[in-house]
Amino acid sequence: METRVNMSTDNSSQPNSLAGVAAARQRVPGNAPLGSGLEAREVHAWFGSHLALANVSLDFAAGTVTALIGPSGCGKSTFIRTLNRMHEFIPSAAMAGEVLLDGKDIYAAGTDVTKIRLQIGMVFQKPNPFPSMTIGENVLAGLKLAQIKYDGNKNDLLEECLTRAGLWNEVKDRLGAHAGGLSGGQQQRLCIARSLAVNPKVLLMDEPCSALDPGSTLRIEDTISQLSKTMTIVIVTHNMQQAARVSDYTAFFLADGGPGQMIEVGPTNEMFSRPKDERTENYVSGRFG
Amino acid sequence: MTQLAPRKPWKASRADLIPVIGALILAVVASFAVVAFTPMKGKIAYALLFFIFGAGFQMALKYRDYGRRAAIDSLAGSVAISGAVLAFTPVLSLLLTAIVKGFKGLSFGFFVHDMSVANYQSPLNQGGVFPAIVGTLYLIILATAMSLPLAILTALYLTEIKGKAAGFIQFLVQAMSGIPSIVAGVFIYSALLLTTSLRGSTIMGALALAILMIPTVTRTAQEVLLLVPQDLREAGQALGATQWKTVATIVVPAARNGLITAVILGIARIAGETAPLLFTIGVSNRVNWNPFVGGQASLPIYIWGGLGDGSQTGIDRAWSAILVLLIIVLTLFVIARVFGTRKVKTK
Amino acid sequence: MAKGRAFVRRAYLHVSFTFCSPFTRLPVADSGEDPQVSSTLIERAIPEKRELTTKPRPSDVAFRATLNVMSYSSLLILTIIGGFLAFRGFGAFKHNGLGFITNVDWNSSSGDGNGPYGMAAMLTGTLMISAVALLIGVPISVLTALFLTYYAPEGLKKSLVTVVDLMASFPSILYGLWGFIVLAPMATYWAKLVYKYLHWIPVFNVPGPAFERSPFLAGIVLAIMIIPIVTSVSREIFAQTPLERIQAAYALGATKWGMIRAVVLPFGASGVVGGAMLGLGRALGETVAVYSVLNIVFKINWQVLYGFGGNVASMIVLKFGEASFNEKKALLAAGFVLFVMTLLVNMIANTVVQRAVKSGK
Repeated sequence: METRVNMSTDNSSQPNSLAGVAAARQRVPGNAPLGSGLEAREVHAWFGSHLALANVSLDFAAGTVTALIGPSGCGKSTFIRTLNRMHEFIPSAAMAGEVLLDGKDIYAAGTDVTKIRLQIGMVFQKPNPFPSMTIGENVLAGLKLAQIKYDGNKNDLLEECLTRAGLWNEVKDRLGAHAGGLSGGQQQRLCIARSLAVNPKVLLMDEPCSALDPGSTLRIEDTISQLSKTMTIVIVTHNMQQAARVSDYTAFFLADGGPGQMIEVGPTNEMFSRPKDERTENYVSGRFG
Repeated sequence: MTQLAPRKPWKASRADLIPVIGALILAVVASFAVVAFTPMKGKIAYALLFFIFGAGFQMALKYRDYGRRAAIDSLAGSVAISGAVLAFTPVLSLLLTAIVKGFKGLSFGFFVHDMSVANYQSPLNQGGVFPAIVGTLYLIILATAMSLPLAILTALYLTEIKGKAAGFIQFLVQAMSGIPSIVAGVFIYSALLLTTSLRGSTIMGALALAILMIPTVTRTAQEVLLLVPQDLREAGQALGATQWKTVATIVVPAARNGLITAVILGIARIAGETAPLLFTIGVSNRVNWNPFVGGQASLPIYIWGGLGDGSQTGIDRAWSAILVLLIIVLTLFVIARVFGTRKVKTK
Repeated sequence: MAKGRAFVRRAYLHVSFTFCSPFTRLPVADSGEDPQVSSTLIERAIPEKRELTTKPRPSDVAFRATLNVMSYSSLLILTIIGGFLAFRGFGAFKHNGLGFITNVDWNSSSGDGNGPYGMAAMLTGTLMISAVALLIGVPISVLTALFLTYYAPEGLKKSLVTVVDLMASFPSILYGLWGFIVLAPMATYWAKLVYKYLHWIPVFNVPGPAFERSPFLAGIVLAIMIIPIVTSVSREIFAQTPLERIQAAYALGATKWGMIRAVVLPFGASGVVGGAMLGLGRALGETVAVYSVLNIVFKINWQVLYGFGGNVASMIVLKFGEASFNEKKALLAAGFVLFVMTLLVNMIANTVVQRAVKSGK
């Protein structure tokens, strides 16, 4: 963390600062919001009797990219897992609050959780393609698992998803090869393509680049920028430069000896140049983390 | 900071469970109805019908609420539960049968007397299995004494030294665990009894049992030794200890409880074996304290004799002896579990 | 873990020192060669690796020697058993030739006790009973393992696993007696049902209405006996399914069964096969349980529901007590055949399981 944020001057003149990066990020203005809105209201999360996350309320506007930043152990991953109901796989897990997709609480009684997960997809930190399937089968695995009858041409869907994930040119000649032969960055893009195939409205990404080299990271960030035109994206990241590069909004989480909480949220370039809370300022300027 | 109460909204609520339980009750009723009105009969009819109706109704419920995929998921769950029920029912039946049939022959006398003035056909209040119990315990002690050093040292070789032959030895130990018990018994008989003037005795039976015990103890001991953290060994070596001292004073005590478990599991393995004893241990109807000369009674042989006798009292005695044997084996098993899960006490 | 073991790799180490090998990179300028060195680093010769040794300590020497000797004992025992049985039984092999395996008659009552002896009936019996045991026992075990890993409530799981392990330590004579008294009537009824609906399949046909004490009954008893082994191995394999793949499947909206089909079963398939082979090894050598329930007759019986059969182990028990010296040799030869069979099956099974555990990672 060598860059220091200059608090007083106009930041777009300092292209190497975080705020400068965020300000320089191009956004296509004025498009109708695509994807869906996701809203978290007063979300709490427990592991057994330990309260890991307290009272997080966040509104993810349709078609935006929101980055969740904060030091290790502050509850960002726990929070993102409450957004697609993956938190409940831990036997001692409990939660409180609501998560609304298009206005409807995904935790409501009688909800089909598998359908929720089709609409809110997830990409994990460690790439996890299915090794027993080929590249082509991996991409379409979601369709098979959900037993979705796809009306169009499956090959077209395959090409579209791989193109959107930025992988098509590299694998178009070897769709029948096994997924295990790809590099880490390629595998992660394959996982992104896989989650795109079921046409989710929201894509959650839990530190998708932390296990990858810088080259792959940049390519995936390109992918994220492209994807954000048609869906809502929430990305957990340890890397503040990455947050500055890809996101429209940034939320800062912190666990100050107690449960994790969201300290502040705002447009990304404001969060990095003029954060309102002192703790946010300390974190983004690298005084701890 | 406001705080809400924790919930688990993904768990089935009481309201959700009512239709499930209702459907199960309906399935029971339907099974009985079908059995009453059709030529189907027998336990298998009830079981099959209950499965069909039970799984079918659950599938229907899920289909109504969530669609086809959920219905298939529900069917898979029903099949898995049924498989588990099929696996656990015989266990229950085995235990219950042993208890019900063996209980009536149990009495204080049964445990304390021997068979010198009674035989299998005598009424149940005469004679007893005391020599058989003593014989079984004697066999256990001798077999353990013979197999324990070999098994533990082999396990130590495999985990501490890992020489070039380790893979091969590992392979052999695993292969050895597949020796049929009859082969072990017949081998001892033909190697020692057929060719020499030795006759059936406790030590012969113990040898046969030791052959079966070694692989079991070695494998479990190996797993337990591998669980000892490598840091402990490195700490010992960093202090300048020789390897043997490290093993003897650090590794083995750390694994002590697990090693005891390994031994007890080995004992449980051989305690109920009949075939290795049939031709090696001879017969006796009273306690024989000499392990080298003269036959010895043992619970498995006692049972075998009771069955072979053919009389009803013989079979009753056999069941009682089975119950005694079962109690011994289960006790050993529980002790092994207790030792296995206890942490080594730190000062 | 490998790092820790690496520095105690050998007992005998002593200090030695060797040096020097030719330069491995481009020479520096003053050697007279064309100094087209692209790198600005000064290259140095890469020296040879030093051998690390230390003086042997007597206690360690003795320690290692003892352990070495003791471990080879298992090799010794296996060789002695195999060798002895083969040696003793050799006479029977010589006398009967290949017929030992292929003949059906076991002629105990011939004058000189020289047979002829043939194991064919008992070998086919062994195979039939084991086949029934696997066909019934393995599916139940796999379902139970799936249940225990993915469907059982948390609180019950440990107790149920203990019960399964407990089953493995029940004396086999209990299984035999229970099979004879409790299971037999039910099995006879089931056999009649199978016959009624499936007798057009030759293996389920019977020449006469004798359904008691059949290989079918023995197979069911053996199936129950191998459930603990196969369930244990399957459960351990399933429990090692990588969590990230399971999460990937769920994140794509899979149901539990969808996840099991897509991730767990492909991952665990080879381990389950290994477990089934271990169960087979157990079934091949089972003695008293089979002896108690089966009507042992020396004729080949392919018809699983028909009331007689036998397996090699129970034959040995049946005949050994009253056998003449020569017949005993034949029985030892039969024991050798059984020994080799179970050894092979177990060796293959263990290799399969090891490979499944390793490759899945």
